Amino acid sequence: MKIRHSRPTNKTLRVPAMLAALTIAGLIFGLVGDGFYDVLSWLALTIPVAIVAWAWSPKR
Amino acid sequence: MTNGTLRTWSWIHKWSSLVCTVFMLLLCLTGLPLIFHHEIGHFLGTEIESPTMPANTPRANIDRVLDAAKAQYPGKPVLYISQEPDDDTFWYVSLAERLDEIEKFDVAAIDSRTAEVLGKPRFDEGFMHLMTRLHVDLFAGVPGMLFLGLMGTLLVIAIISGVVLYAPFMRKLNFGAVRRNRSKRLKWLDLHNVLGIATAAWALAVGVTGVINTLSVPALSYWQANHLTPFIAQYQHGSPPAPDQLASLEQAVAAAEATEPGMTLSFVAFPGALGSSNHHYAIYMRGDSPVTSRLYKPVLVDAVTGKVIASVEPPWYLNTLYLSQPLHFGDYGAMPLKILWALLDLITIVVLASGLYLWLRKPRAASRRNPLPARPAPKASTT
Repeated sequence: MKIRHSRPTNKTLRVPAMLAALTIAGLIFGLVGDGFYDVLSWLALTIPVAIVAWAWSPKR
Repeated sequence: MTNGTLRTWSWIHKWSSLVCTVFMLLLCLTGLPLIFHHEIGHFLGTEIESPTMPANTPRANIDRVLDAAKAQYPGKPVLYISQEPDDDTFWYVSLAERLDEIEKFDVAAIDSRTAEVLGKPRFDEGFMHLMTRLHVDLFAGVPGMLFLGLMGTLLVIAIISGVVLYAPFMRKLNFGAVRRNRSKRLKWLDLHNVLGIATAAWALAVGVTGVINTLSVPALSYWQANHLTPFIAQYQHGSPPAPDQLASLEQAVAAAEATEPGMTLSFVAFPGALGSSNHHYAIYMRGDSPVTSRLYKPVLVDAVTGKVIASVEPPWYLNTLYLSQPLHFGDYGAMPLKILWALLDLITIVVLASGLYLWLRKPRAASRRNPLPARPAPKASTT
């Protein structure tokens, strides 16, 4: 059995890929409609911003 | 990924970002107030405020609107008349000395219901003008726009190479891990990586659409020369008609609205101005949904006879340009989207500045010996 010292690339990229998908969905939701779609767009785009705040916050 | 390809991507990331970083910092800083240009204009008192009237108040004759504007700037031809997408209570009428003017206009804001003059906004002076020009063309016209387009292209390359480098550099860390207890440089490296990867898709979208926007003048000129002009070649003879020969715009607009029912008037380019031909009013109509309201379709109306010639379906590159505008400006999802845009812009500033810091604080001697991140023995890695 191979000893793995580090996680594979697809695991490293799992969260970034999810964030990218959310961002793209957020950008498109805002374009396709008003009202409900705008709310979806805000929610989707809030997540990368929240992730940044979480990573940057000193106490966790 | 082999050490060789890793080194190549590192080189690409380093140089593409180093060349564009100063300009990108400028664009992020000047773009921040531009996100809120309506609110700032309101605050500064430079925004046009029209009196409140019932929503069904009829529109004044557009020819009277034009006359009111021309009286403010005697002797100058009208190039454009336009409305804000979300406010049809007033018109902007743009006049200039020359018909080929694309930058400096004399503008009169005229109430669309009473044809009263509401103001003569200057879009070529003041704080917001400074921000706009620094953001759009560095006060250098089309060459400045294209230069910023080139810098934006480098940013796009920097983002893509940064994403490529993310996996090999981060495989030993959990997502979002920031090593705070070792060196200051290591902490900022981790922050650069997590902030950069979390906002990469947004930055890429704004970067690519920004580059597309820098091509707007060449794209419109190209369309005018290669699409519009051949189409109307049969009518194209001599110079634009004198202003007193022009047919009623009110009737031309009514004819255009009858030709494209369900669409709304956005702006009119006068004969000879960029966006029209020498002999037509190009009456740009837009749809009503969030997407179609961004896609303009010009209806050409003979400027002397007032007859509709045709609706011109915009080619793919103009639709791309029109769609890339909201995705760059972030103006299509009300105030919460603007705030998110501003936050993402601020995060991008941190990514740019930390990238510069990491390069300045690079341990030179060590990096020459071993430019790659500490990683397990090559055989243990699966890539």
